[in-house]
Amino acid sequence: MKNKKRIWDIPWGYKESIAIVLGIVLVGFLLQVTIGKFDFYLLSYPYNFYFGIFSLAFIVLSVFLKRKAFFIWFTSLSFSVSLIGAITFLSIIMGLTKQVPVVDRSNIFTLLGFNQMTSSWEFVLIYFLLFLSLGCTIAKRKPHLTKQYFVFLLNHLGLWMILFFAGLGYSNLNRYVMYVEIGETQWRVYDKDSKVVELPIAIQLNNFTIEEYIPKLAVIDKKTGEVLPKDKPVYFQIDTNSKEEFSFNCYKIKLKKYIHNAVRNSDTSYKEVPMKASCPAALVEIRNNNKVKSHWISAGNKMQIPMFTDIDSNLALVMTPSEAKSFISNIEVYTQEGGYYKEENLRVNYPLRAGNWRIYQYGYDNNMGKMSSYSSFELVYDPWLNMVYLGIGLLALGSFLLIIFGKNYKK
Amino acid sequence: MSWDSFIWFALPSILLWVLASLLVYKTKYRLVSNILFLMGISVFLLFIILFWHSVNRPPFRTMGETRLWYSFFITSIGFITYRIWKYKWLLSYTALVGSVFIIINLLKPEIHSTNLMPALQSYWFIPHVTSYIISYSMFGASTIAAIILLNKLRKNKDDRELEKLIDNLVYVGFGFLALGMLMGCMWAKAAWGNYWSWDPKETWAFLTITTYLAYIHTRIQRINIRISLWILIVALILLCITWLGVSYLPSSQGSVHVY
Repeated sequence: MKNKKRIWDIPWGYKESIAIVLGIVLVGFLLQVTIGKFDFYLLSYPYNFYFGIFSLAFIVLSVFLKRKAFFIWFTSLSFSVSLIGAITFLSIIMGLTKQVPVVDRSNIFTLLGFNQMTSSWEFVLIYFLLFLSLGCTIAKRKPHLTKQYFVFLLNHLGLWMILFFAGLGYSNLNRYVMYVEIGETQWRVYDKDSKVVELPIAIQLNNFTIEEYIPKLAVIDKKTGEVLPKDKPVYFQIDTNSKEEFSFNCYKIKLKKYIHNAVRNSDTSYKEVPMKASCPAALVEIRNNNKVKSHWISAGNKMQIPMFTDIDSNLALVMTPSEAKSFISNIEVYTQEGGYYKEENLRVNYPLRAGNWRIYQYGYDNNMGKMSSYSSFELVYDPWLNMVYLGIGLLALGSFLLIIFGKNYKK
Repeated sequence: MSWDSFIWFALPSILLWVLASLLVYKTKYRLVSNILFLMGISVFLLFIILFWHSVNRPPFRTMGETRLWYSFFITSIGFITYRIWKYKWLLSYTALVGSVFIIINLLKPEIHSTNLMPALQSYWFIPHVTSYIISYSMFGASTIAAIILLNKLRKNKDDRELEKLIDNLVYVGFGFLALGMLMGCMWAKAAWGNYWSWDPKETWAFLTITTYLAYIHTRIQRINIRISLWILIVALILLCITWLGVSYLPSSQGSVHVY
């Protein structure tokens, strides 16, 4: 009769994998309690470089020793699933606890790093093992010109590249917010300790413009200021040409004229003046049976007072305040190495690439709106970004093939 | 062409889709069903084109307009996936979801005018959401199948075909989930400068995807299938928390995904 396999007899399976992974999480907890959170600056250049070399060497070594019990286990499904389980478990903790930038180590949760999960030792250790095991698994598998191998390779290599370059590149990544006045050039930013830092990159802000949505009209209760009807406020959209007349109770409201960049002309009228202090205004006609009245209304801004019109003793017709549709900076960028970049339409979702820097439209003076005298930019330095994108590309292709092929049963 | 005439395109589309998704279950009328479904998509696309032409700008400005694209892409991708995988329920499901978005637009017309804020004005917005909705449908279906299989196993009945169906559903769903997530990364990078920032919604999305990963890997190993099936049920619960529950968690105060 065959002897029953006991725990720690090779080959190792789930029992051993789970025990080891739990052990590593425990070690993480202990490190966290004794020496505090993992300092990512341990991974700044050149240490991340050495670290990368070490990982690759380990993976190459695993290919030569792939028949040894340790590496058979290290690249086994039981170990992978246990690691996936561990990272899921730690993520659940992270998903349930509020993550904060600074913690006082006052109770058991903060002591174990639950409030800063991604920089806790337990998380970093599991992440690192996951990425080593994944790397060895990819290296172990013999290349085949088969569908299965391609799907395997794309998904696993893509993920590995993301883990590798995002993980090791994290401490190389720098981000700053820079405020630039219109017409000026700026290269200084504040770091997180509010100290002035001079960057090797300068931004010249030629112009800054805000495009606003065409506002809406609404009927309000003059006493409370609430938009009516109370339970289901109605806003009349005036930017499509199809409908220029609205009804409210027995009143017919008709849009007669609309000026997007209007400036008050007299007590009762507006005219078009394309300047920053202008605001939208509309000439409306309110009809009730035979009574007709026309009036200009406007939501105003910092420079112009609002204008509304009474419909009757309780109701008034108003225009809603402008909402930003987009804010656009026209910039020129100079780098210390002599690089020059230009973007006339820098806006949210469309950053400018300047070498290893990316420049994002960040904000403006919200109080002043269209009249903001400055624009702010977020500058992100990320030299490993392209490699992460390559990983994302491979993984996306792999995912697409999963959709087409599903699970291949013909083996 | 404006929203006023939307109903004259919306109702025929819904009607064609509903008819198609009923006829698809009758083998005799399968071809008719496919044609009807495609006609529904065409009528709907025609409205989008005419509307686009009349407003003179790409219709991506308001919530109502993005719903137009959801309906269009969900039914289109649903149809293609149905053609590849022959899951008839998928045709009915996408018809239903596509119709729901249309009905929201018909019943709550004031939402046409809810302007998209600058961060949402991205070409990633619609494929990101569409991809997720399709993957949710696959995972929903696979979980139902898993419960049926667990029940059969309890009565000591094996069902290899159902096993295969569950695996394929999970693979296809996982593909869409991963694509949706990667598109989210690209969008986040363009909008916030970070492809991943462990925002609570992202954390939950991550642990959902790792749970499905665990299912896939335990199935390759062919350990006791009951364990795998239970992982699948847990995964769907996590998915629902990610989708609907995150906003209510205390950890999500200040999350960028809570609107």
